[in-house]
Amino acid sequence: MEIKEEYRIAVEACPTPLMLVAQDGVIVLTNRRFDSLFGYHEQALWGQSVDLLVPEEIRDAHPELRQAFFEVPTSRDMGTGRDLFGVRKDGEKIPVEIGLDPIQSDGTTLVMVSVLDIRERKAGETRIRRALDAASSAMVMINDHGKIELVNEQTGMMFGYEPKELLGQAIEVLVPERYRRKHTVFRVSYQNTRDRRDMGVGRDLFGRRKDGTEFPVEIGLTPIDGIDGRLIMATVIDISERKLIEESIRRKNEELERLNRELSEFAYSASHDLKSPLSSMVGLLDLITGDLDSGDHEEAQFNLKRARDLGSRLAGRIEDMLTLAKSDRQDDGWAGLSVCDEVATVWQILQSGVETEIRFSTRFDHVDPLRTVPARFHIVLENLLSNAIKYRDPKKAEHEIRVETWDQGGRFHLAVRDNGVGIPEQYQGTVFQLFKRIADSSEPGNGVGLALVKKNVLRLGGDVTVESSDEGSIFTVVLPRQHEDGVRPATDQILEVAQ
Amino acid sequence: MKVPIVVVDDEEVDRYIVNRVVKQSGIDSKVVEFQAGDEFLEVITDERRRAEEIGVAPPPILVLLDINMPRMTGFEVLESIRNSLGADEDCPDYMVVLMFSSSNHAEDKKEAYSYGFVKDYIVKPLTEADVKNMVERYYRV
Repeated sequence: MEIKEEYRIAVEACPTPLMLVAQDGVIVLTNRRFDSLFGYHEQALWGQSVDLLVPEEIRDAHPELRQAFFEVPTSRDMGTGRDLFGVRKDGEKIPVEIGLDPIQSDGTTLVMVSVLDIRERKAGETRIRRALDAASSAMVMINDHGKIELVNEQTGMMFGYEPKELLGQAIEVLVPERYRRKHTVFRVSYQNTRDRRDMGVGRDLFGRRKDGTEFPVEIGLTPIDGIDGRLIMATVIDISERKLIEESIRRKNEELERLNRELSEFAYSASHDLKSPLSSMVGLLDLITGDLDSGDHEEAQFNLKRARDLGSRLAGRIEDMLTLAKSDRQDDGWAGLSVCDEVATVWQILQSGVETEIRFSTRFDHVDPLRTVPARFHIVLENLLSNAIKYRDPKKAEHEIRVETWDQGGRFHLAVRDNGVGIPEQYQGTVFQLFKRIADSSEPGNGVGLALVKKNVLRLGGDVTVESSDEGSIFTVVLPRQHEDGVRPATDQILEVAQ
Repeated sequence: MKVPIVVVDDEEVDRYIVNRVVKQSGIDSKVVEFQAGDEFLEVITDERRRAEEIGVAPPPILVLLDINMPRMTGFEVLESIRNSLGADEDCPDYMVVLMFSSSNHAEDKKEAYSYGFVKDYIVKPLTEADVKNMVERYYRV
């Protein structure tokens, strides 16, 4: 096909790589910039099929596409929204943008193809993309309608999505359902200030993964005003690990505070409870010296016996303190324990030494077995029951002890009720302290039982409380329940009446 | 009349020691024993009421008050004296209170002396020297 000389000169003068293609796909004309972009000698492409420059994978479809263009020839960009490539003579594929313009020449329609080499632009985009993907935080860019325009790889990993799944979605898809409505309001109001800041300072923020699970996050907001609109870049950091560490530090601190308290209690106890029998012994020994000087052997004997009793008491207290200390170091072997069996066993052992008749009843309404540290649970139960036996009220005609269990609010409850002497209200706050006794020293008890109960219950992550009046006492132990299999046992039975 | 020495202590042996040491020290004072703070408070409240009724000052006493007692601690007794006997920072002038404990703990001493009417803090066991000192300092009440 003959091309007018004016065309040829105009095309050659154009700074853009250009070619003219006929309807049958034959290249009619190229300029030197075009030839050099595709690696051909001057004019070497003339007369060749344009499909030569099309990547192999779409070469078969190309004639049809070309035909479609010639049917409705309009000026437009080729392949809008798709990445286009041209194939150089050496086979290299180069990213290009292509403009198509129909022109008339001697009654036939030709297409003027202008090609833009976008290799450098693509390389720049790839660099930015890689930089974004290399960031350790998730980066999400949204437009002023709250739609996600760009995410990096980290976003996909953090939230469990394929990055492209997120494009075009509302940002709220990454927000837990219960905060979504509020988030939308906040987002709209943020568009007014558009300041660079952290989101939700002082509040705990959570992200929502594709599978619905949540995780704590920190979010930085940066407004980006570009030619393509008022964008916002949100930088998201998953702080689960930090939260875990904070939680573990908090627990350690509590533990240290508890140990510190116990240490002060120990110091108090040592200066009072351990020192007092010793002081008395020293006093007695002085008196015994006097008794011996004055030849009063009978009094000396009597005082020696008193000193010996004090010595035994002191030894007992030291033993108690060691028991308490040992219960601190005890290994925590968690296992399933049948509370019903345990109650029956402990009662069996304790009641065997009791002369008085005691009506003992139980009502079990919890899921058995209970996952606990059996050794600790045993100490708790044994001390509560033995106290209930020990402090029965001799003035009452019938003695009753009742053990009740139930589950409530995800916690296991155990109550030991008795109709014993009761604890006056003003002492109910201190009964769990070591060597705190309400009764005079003539009464039974050594003031260590409830301290042991308290310590072991705390170690099991629970708490113990007391309600008491002259009608009797109720000690209630509440322990955390873990998910475990078990059955609700038959309730309400009078296990045994001690003889 | 010699001022009686009142010992408030749940420990029988310690009350016995006070009795013996007072006797050995040769002062001719009666030792009155209470095994609990509330019992002691009841009696002195009665004494005070009776004295008021007949319009005289209550009889002076010297109190050895233990700290670590089961029903009511020595500090609770002090609190009760301050509140119910109308004693402010100053002791009711007929009563000298000396704390009497096996504890040599600074905190216990500090708390004891926070009551203005606690005049001394004696660490157990009581010795003849303590008694002689007591008599010298407080017997001219």
